Amino acid sequence: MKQVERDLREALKARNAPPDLAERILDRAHRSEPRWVRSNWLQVAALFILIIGAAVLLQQWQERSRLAQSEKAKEQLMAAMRITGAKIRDVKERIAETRSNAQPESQE
Amino acid sequence: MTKADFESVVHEHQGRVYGIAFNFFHNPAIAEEVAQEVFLQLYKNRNTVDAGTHCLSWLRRSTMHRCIDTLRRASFHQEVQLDELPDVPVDVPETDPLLQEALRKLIASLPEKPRSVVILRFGEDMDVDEIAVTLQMPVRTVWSHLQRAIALIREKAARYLTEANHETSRTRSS
Repeated sequence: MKQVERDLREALKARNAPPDLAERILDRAHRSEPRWVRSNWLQVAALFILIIGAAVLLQQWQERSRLAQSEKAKEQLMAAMRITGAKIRDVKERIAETRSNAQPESQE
Repeated sequence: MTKADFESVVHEHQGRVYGIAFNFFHNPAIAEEVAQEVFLQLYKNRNTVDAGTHCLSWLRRSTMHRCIDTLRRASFHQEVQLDELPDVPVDVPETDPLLQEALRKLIASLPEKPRSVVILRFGEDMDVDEIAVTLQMPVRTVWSHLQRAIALIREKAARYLTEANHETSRTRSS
């Protein structure tokens, strides 16, 4: 190896970083995180509870909506049955009336 | 790379990154700023960089690029005048601290590409092929920068030593 290369290696040999460099780097890296990532466990737990609460409310709302729909369907069915029953009764009455009118004519 | 991996990478390689930047600028404040920026960039890209050997070459490459960017932004490339260098005694010992200091200043005054090549070759002990990959330049260009830089340093150092010798003999005769 030539002298100049030895001198260059010696001049550029490894040197120690300043004592607190690692701490400063880690602190800066931590501060570079978005605020929501830095939130503590309490905030994370609160967010979790909020999500669970929202899910429960949504489920209840869906359940109520389903019940209301089935109630409405039941009422519609009952109304249809009432109308059908009235029609049947009406038809029966007419048949009975027609029969009663027809019997005296046949006796004569 | 997890956060714990990142912390151990910082503790393991902070001296290396700081050393490259210091050799590039010969200025501790700028070297520290560059080192912080490089590790911050690593932190942001930690999901794409492995913690092993890939990380070391990533750090070297990023440090050199960051040094060149900083130099271009600030454009504080400065030619070192011989009278700015420290006085050296006539009989220079093998590891003379003043000569080392003078060499470091001469290296820091080289143009950016030859300076990067010299730092990676003699400071990081990388071979020419590795330097070519790190600096993304052809191997022949690396050789050319290396030879030019050594010739320049040799010439400046020779002039510096000659002037120091003249100065010492003048002092002795008077």
